[in-house]
Amino acid sequence: MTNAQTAQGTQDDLSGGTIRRKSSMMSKGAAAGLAIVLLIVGLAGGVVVGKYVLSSSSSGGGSSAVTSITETGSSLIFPAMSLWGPGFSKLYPNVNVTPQSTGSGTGQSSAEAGTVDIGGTDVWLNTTTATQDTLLNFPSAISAQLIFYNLPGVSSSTHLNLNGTVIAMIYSGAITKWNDPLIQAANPGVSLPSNTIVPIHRSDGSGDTGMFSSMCELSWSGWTFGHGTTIQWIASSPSYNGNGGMVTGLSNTQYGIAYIGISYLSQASAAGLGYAALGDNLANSATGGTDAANYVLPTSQNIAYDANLGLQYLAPPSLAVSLILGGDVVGTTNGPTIYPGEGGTNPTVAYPTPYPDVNLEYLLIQEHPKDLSHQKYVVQFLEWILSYGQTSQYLSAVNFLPLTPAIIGYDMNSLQLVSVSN
Amino acid sequence: MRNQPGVARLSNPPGGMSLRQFFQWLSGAAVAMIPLYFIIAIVATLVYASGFQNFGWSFFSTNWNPNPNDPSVAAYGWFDFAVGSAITSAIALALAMVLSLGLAVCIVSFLPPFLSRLAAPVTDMLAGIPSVVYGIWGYVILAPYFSKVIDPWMVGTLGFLPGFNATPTQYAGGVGLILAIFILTIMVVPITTALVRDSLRSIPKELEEAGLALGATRWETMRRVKIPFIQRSIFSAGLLGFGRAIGETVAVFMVIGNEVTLPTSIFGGSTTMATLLVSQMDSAFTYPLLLKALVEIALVLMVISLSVNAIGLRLLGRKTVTGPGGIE
Amino acid sequence: MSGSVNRPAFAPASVADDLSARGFGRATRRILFDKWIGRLLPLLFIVVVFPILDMIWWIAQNALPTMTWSTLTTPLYGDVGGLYGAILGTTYLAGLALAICGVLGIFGGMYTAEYASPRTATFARLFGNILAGTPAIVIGYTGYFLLVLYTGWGTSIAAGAITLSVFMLPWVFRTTDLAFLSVPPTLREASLGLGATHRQYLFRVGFPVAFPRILTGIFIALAIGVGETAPLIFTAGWQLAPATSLTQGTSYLTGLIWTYFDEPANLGHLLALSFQAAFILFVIVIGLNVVVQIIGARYRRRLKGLFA
Repeated sequence: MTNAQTAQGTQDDLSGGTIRRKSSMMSKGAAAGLAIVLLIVGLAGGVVVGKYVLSSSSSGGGSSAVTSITETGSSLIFPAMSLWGPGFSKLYPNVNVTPQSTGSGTGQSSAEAGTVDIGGTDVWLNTTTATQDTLLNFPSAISAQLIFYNLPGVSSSTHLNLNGTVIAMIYSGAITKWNDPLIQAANPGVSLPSNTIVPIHRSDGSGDTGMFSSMCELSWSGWTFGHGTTIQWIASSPSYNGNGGMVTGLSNTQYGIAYIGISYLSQASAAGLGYAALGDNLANSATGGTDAANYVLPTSQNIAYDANLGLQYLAPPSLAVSLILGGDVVGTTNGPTIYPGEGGTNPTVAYPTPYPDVNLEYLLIQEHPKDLSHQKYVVQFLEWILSYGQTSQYLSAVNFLPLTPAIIGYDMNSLQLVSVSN
Repeated sequence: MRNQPGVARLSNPPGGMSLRQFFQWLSGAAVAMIPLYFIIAIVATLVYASGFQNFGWSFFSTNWNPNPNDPSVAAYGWFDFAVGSAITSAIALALAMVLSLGLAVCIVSFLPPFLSRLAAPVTDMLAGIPSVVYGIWGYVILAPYFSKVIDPWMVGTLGFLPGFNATPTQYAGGVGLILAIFILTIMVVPITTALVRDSLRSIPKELEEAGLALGATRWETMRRVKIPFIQRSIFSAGLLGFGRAIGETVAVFMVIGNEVTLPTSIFGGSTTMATLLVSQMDSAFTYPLLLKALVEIALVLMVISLSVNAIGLRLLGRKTVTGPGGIE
Repeated sequence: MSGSVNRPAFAPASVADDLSARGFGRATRRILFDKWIGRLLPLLFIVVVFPILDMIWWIAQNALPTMTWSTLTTPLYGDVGGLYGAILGTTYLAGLALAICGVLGIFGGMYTAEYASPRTATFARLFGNILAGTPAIVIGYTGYFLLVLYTGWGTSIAAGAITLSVFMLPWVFRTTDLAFLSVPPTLREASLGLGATHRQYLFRVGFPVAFPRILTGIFIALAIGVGETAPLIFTAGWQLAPATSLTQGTSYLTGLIWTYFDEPANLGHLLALSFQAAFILFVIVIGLNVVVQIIGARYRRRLKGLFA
């Protein structure tokens, strides 16, 4: 502004001790007033006009410039996406991937609204939303959730045996002590303390909570809190922000128990936390099922097994499901059903118990996006994720597992549905 | 406010204005009222975004259950969070006012000049530290210390007081109301200190000199002359501090524990309205009603901030809230 | 303190009464009390100094060992690179916001202090205070619904900067107002007495004298804008590559801390980056404070010179 210059000049005048008077041609006050009115009108108008001008020009990427693929959503996918981006750009130097860590809900709604190319989510899209908005699910990696606990006196190399029912009961307040008969029965050799269990949950809205509450809901009919990224919890359950916060919180909370994504395994182990071997309800200790063979650790083999099993029984024609097998997976002629885990239900299919709490990390893209030429890069990126992106170079840092060939096949088929143009 | 007679003002009665003067007045008044336009824009946007969703009386309750699967049990009462907001900001403000009065008095009257010149900017600097840095510092450095040392000690010594008792699991992670109050106090102190300090400095020298000349000590001059003189400014500083405390989001989010319950103990976790808006926004994108509830809670927060200032104005007897020191 | 009652609080005469009525021993006690207050009050500075020192120490410890020049000059991509994009983003956001709120705030404050009728000024200040007390997250929500959704800009620098400017505005507004009010009345009287019009006084005398304090307000607003997260979380979006247009999202320093602080331990570089971002923020804040102090000192010297 010219005012600043005037000011400077006048300061010199001032220090000289004289005030010179200049006659100005035009009234400065009127000019300033006019400028301000224009500014306000401009600002107000800009908001409305910008709605049409800016929004129409925002998505058009130049052909020579670097194209940017935007992703937003799940904080669990985010680190993997951060590694995939540069890997993809090595092959396609003119394409840049911008991931953002917001949350599964943001991922879903942004993909729906078309404000990003890819929405990331840990929780599956329900089928009505998916069809309404013609979104497509692309499982991009396999992740799992671990049940960690902080039990002084029990070495972290001893993995307690727990299952969905017991966990749901703990989080409902139906089981309050570590040496509850239901827990003790499943862990014969372990001397459990009589202390009160402190169930810890995530305070922010999160896909982890969505998975965990689904498992509880499937496992135990007494679970009254439903499932979702945010649910109501019992009053005696403290909460922490983010997976990192859960690790910190649990390591400070003796006799606590918490659900934490597998990406944070090394962090949690470094903090001295133990994690549980989970069983399905074959191993439901409520009915005396104490067969230790039914409790499995979240090893890559067991997780992959669950993914395969889920795919085999649950997946086609849509992978819009989570692979939480809190109950028993029972093959019937009508296809698979997930039993709500009442004790005593007999399975009719013999299979080694899978690790129950497994999920796919979904990428959501629009089937018929507005900008078809841009979408071709998105499809290229997805193809890259399904091939090169599945190597341990990218996945091992976050303990994700590569997709099984069947899921990749499913993804490839879905990719054919996406409208693109060159 | 200075209103010298004889100074030309553009706000003459409109009848006596030329057209040009009128436009000058209009544009000037328009620019002075820009904060008002922003406030109107904020309220209007929030009201519009709330979709006029009627949550009924349950909105005014402690019943919070955003259950997406069963709409019949879903409830969006915000009182839990109002209590969290009230406890954190009220206690933090009370502590901060005591501290900042002491600090300001010390800077103005008791420190040697060179230390006083150094102390003021250091206090100001504290106000500029990003709230996210306060957050991670509180969460990583302070929380373990609170959980292992301060909380057990305070429960041991003050546990007989209502609200000061807690089981070890309540403060196990170290995060909770007490840590949020601590962080908030540190964040509010520099703001209130700067305001009180500036008011103290703007007191006419003659008053202090008169006090000292009459044989009063520095403390007595401060206590009897200066502080009464700037009462209003102190009050106004308190209002501003309260605004900062009740609206602080990121730092509090990281240290308060975000438990959705009515706090039973000062060592347990809680949620404030502001932190709820951050922690639940992501879920709200897929829970349509939750989003509207959050927007309405944001509106409530806005109304609280409006009324605190309006009440403050009322208490000050319709005098200007801010002025240079006591010379209003 | 002295136990006197029913005496007007603001009445210097009462102190003299005390002195004569209470005798010598009382006076000694009073002087001793004053001395000890003077010694004890500085202890309060622990509350101020300890957090600053501890934060600086902790952040420097975690940031500096892995910080190199390239941290500042390379953009982050995936888990490699530095803070260039975030520094640029913070510059864009805070700079643009400052441009908006600087113009509005300075003119608004100037008008309030110099032109507005007492009634208008009272209300202008009230609304300024209310806006200053409006929670950042509420402003962020508004920005999200109005600028991101309604206008269709999406999360972008433009939306973030405008939202941020609303948060910063009251600080510029208030300090400008105060700066004009605190111009020594003698200057005004002298210039008007010499025949200057009000406008001439305002732009030739008032503004130059008030300017350093206005600048102080601008720097304070800048420090606040640079360090704020809440209005930006839902409005500024996120993009690691340096932004080339106002319609793009951008990374910014506080958002970088917010995002990367909680990443898995295997991605330690990102954790280090968030400490480095915090360190840079500290440098900016301390730098701005130093600038404010220098301006303030020069201002005081100039005023002194003016009246000497």
